[in-house]
Amino acid sequence: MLANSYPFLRCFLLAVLICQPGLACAELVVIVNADRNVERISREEVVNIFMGRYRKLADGNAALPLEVKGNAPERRYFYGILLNKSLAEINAYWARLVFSGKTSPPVSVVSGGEVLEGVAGDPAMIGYLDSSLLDGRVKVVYALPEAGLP
Amino acid sequence: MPISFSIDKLARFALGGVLVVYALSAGAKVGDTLWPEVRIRGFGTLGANYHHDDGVRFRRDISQAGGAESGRISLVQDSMLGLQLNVSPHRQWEISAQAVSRLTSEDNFDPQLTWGYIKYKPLEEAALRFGRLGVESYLQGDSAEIGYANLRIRQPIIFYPRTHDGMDAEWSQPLAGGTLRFKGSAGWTQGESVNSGVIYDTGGSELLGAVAEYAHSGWTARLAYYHLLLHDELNDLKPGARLAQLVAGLPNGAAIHETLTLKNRSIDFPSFALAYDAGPLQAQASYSIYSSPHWSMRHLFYATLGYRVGDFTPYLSYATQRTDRKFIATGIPNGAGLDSLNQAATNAQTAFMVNQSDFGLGLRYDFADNMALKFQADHIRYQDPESIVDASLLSQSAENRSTRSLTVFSVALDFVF
Repeated sequence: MLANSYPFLRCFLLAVLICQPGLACAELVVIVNADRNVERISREEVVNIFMGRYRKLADGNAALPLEVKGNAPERRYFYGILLNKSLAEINAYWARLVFSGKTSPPVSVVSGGEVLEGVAGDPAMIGYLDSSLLDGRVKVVYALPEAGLP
Repeated sequence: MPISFSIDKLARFALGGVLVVYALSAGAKVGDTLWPEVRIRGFGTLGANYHHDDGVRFRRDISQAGGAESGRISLVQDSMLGLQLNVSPHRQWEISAQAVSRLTSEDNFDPQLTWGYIKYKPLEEAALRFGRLGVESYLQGDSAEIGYANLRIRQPIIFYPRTHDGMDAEWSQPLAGGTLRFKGSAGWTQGESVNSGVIYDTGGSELLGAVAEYAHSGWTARLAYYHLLLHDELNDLKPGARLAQLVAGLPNGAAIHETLTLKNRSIDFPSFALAYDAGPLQAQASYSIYSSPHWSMRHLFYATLGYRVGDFTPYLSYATQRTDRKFIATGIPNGAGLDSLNQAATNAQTAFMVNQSDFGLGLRYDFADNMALKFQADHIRYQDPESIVDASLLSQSAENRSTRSLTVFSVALDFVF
């Protein structure tokens, strides 16, 4: 909660969290297909999409979330920084929605590379990954934390 | 006309739906690379509870006939296992069936079909579902069985009936950074409840409901209104039953019958809830009213608060249900051997009164990403109980009933897979 109120503290926490063994020292970024007519999205939109509340962007088209499955470091850091929530809390949240038939969690893939391929190959997809994996087929629409967006 | 769905009918309905939606998805192009998708998921709880109040039995909710007895560890009240089969042939279509094995009104663990529907989502904003659906009459009311999704071992107040056969329609819209959601439900309820050892079948009762919910950041505000028209009569009031005969012979029998009858009884259930879930803090508060003609209005309130520290989340909760204790006299003066008749008629009138509160303390330990261990103590005070079975209450007149209490200790292992 404190981190949500102080962008500097969020930057620091992200740096500490991201620079862990098994994950390169880079920032997590939210990406969409490069052909998509969207340049930036807000934190609230990221939350709405990845928490299953509303999955459409300002261009009027669907935004179907894609993420690395299980307890991958990217997933842990993404929800830790975005919502200050543990993976257990996120899983509990999804258990409530999934078993009451409300909506589906993000589609799971095994690696950041698959997130990149999924978004590059399907304009409806949106994902997050380590910025070191970026290429020209996708574009960054949000960086965690917001202050880090170029 | 009430319509009842059998499990067989639903299974055939779902199978037919699978074939139809596969056919419809044959022309899928861009963006459909992840469909069709078939998923099997599950959830469960292995729970134990204990209390040492002689003559009292503790039930998880009113769908259970039996309860945990004094001085013995019961493994059956909270334990359950659920399986969900979900087929998404196309991103606009979904077919789902969910069965849960838990202690039923008939004291067995026979699996029950709790969900079985076809969902069509033509737009991001809109969704329609047809089939067997959960009743979402209060905050998170459609996920009371999913222990892992809840902070407590049991939700503070569990409303019945919990499922209906019919449809619901949902509309969501972003608003000022948050999301506004409307939902309407219609159908016929399904399931049984148990009161004083007598099973009441809610099957075929008409249900109409509406929900408006706004979520922004960690806040959720929710307003709901449900209307239920009960179809079946209470077994004890059916022609020839002992209670029916007793009431019919009383001078004020007609008025007492009006308070007891369930046939064609309409019940209104408005509910307001506010929740905050951000970072390590989780808090909820809910206020509801349960009203029906010839009944005293019941007020239901609960609040829960939890704060995560590492993998541990200590929590506390308070829930109360209050009903005005108004009794209709039989019209027969006490004495001349008729006291027991008056007492029976008065006690019968408490069947739909609930005066019970529950103060709970607990600790949730998320020792894995999909498993949680919970420890909980509930101090329950009751005058007219809902989840407690206390046979000694019937030995005195309900008008002079005192407030009693018991403490229930519970442990549960919740998991999803």
